[in-house]
Amino acid sequence: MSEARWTPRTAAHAAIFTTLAFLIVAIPVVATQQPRPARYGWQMYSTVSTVPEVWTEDESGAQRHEDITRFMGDGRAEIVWGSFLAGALCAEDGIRAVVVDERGARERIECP
Amino acid sequence: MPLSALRDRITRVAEPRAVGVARAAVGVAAILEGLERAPILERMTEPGTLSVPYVAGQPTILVVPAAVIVIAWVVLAATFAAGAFTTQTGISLVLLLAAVLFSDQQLYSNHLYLLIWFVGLLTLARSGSALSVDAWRGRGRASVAAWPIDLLRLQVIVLYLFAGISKLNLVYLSGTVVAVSLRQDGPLAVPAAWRSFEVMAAASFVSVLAELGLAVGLALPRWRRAAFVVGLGVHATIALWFDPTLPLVIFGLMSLGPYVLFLHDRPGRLSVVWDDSCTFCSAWVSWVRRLDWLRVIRLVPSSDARERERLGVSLSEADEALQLVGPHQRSSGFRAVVGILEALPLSFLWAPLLRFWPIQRLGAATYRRVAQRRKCGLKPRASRSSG
Repeated sequence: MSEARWTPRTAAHAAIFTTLAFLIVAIPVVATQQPRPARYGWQMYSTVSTVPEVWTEDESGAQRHEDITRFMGDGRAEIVWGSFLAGALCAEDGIRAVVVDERGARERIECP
Repeated sequence: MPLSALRDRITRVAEPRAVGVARAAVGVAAILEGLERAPILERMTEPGTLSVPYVAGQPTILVVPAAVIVIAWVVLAATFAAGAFTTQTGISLVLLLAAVLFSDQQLYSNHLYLLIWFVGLLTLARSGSALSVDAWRGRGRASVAAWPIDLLRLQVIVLYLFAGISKLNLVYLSGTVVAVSLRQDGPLAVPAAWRSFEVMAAASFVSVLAELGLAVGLALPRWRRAAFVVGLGVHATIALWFDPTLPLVIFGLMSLGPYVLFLHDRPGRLSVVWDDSCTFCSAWVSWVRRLDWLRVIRLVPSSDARERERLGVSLSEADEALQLVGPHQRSSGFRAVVGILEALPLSFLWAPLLRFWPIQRLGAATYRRVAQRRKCGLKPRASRSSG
């Protein structure tokens, strides 16, 4: 029969243990509900990841394909890049709108 | 979990040496991870690089020069690996790594996230209690709380479980991910002709089975030996045949290091009776003593009649071959050698392979030949000594 007793220290350790065990399991469970690959879910190599395709539209309406890797520190597939890239491209001269093809959806973002 | 069982789990103690080995391995992985992340940190601070915060206006560590971040990272990781001021360096390293991870969405990496968990749990486990500078300075401990070690084991199991579960999708199982991830050039490049749908799909299924199998195998003591070999195989395979190499080597070291926590590390759990009248055997035994970092092996010279008989080993048995006696095992000769190798941190991952029939047979024959032909400088048996 165990002779261990509950002490404040034991209770604190039990709370930490239970909380961490819950987080270790729960976080990746929640991540399975997100599109692949999701952060914090141990979803390494779970799908083919691509960076978005982006075009800029000038004042005349002509579109030009952009190399967006020049903006990226690291092209992580978990990131929804659209609004961030649009913000950077709209800051360039003569750009009226940005078209982003990302995660199977195409969006046209007007520059302010 | 009933409260009494929880209380018992929280109050259990464990040997500190295994967690010290895990600390050293994870610390080395942390050093390499810092060096591997350095170019990305450098790029993040260049003008023109997008900032992708989690929350607009959030604080970021990127106001600090990348070189300073990397130097601090490597110094803390090296200090943690050596087990110097382990609690302080562990906490500092976790805070630094978390600051990097959460400063910008582009800085997220699964390896970095895993490193934070491992360093944090190893710090909680007081992993500087043994095999460390702290222990050498007299700050070692004879035992540590077992519950952080249980959490480390849980994290390793969860890692493989969800790595496997997340691959249960049509894109992965079609073989596409494997095909595009395989090495494209160099001596280990997989030829394009081998990247057929059938081969790649089969490889994908096998990889999912391997990861799920690892989660189950590590969780069940009966299957752990097999899991050690599978884990070594999985990480060696992806490091050799997948791109990019360095991150996968680091990931392998980071993941395999904590495997030592799945070993039974009770001191003196295994008794090895050896012929102490033979200098050849003495040389071999001295190596075992050096590599038995977990101190699980108790070396009993055959001249110690009382201890030898307590273990149920006769003098003729001890003279004929090495004898291994454990809680639920008794083996001799080559099988005893395998049992010893399965208990040593440097060999436990691959030693179970020696039990496969062709290797086992060859090993037994080699052992017998070596035992028959050994050139022993005979020395008088000690009257009484212990291992």
